Amino acid sequence: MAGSLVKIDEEIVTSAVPSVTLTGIDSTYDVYMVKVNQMESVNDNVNPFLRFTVSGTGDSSADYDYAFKNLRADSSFGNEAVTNDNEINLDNIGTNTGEQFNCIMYLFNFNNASEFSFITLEAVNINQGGVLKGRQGGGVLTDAQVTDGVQFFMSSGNIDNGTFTLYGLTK
Amino acid sequence: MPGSLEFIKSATGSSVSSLQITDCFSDTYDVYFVSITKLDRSTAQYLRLKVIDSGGVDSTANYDLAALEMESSTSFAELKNTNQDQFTSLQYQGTGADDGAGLSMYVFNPFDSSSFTFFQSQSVGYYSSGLIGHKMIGVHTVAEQILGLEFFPTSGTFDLTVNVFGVK
Repeated sequence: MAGSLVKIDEEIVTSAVPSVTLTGIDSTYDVYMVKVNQMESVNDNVNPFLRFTVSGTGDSSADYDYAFKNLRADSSFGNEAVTNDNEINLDNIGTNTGEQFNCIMYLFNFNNASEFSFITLEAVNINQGGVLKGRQGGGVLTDAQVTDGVQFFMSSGNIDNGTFTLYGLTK
Repeated sequence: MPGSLEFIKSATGSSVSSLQITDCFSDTYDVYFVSITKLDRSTAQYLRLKVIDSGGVDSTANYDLAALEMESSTSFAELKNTNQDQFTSLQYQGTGADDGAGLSMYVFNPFDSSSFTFFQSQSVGYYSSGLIGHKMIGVHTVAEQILGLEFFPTSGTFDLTVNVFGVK
């Protein structure tokens, strides 16, 4: 039985932009995947943020819940448990050599108007202190509505680099 | 818009002390998916990994790792270290005839000479105490082109099949 990834949208950032939006989620596929590679920041010590889009615009309502296990190479792992946030905090990066954010996400129920929109996240990055870290877990936007994409931005300043790709998972 | 998970190559070893898969990275892809579809060991222990660069297998202290070890029969453990000469704990497995295992991994930026190479993997195995799984992140902290991977057990030999795909 054949099956594969179908690329739907891709944004390649090579100079500073305030945000990156990937759109094109509809009823074609049940599950979507997002790949983020080498996301880097203009400003030091910032958080990469994620929102889901409604009609192409990031939804900033305080309806994001997320729970992550924070893996890190230097000390004990922590839990990140947050409710009613305005976005999903993907961790922290800086501007020194090697400090970047990478992840694979799977998106569920985005095109379903009667259910919440969910993601699973598996990330690996080096934070502003030069520490290997990675959040593993999931998030949800607790609004029963159609969402059609995702938006990435920094807690302050611009995105300086990165390749952001949205795929559909064919059956 | 085209896009796919494109098979690149496979490598298989039987009763070997290490298995290399080389020339699997290029500028065609920036992210790779690696699967291990067959894994059996001569002794119960961890699966380990090093990268291969232009000078061969890198055995210098360029590896940072963090892994959550999840067992069905005991409390979870945090495995973490920096400046190691290998990734020490990707997966664990016993030697029983039915002690199967599996691993999936993403590799970010291996062929980019200006970037470190990042890894994140999920694995599962079985041994005498039951199910054991790992969620692992790692980084090879040298900005250089990586040409391949070398998998090996802590000691002894293993049977292993590794598949590498490009995420286009």
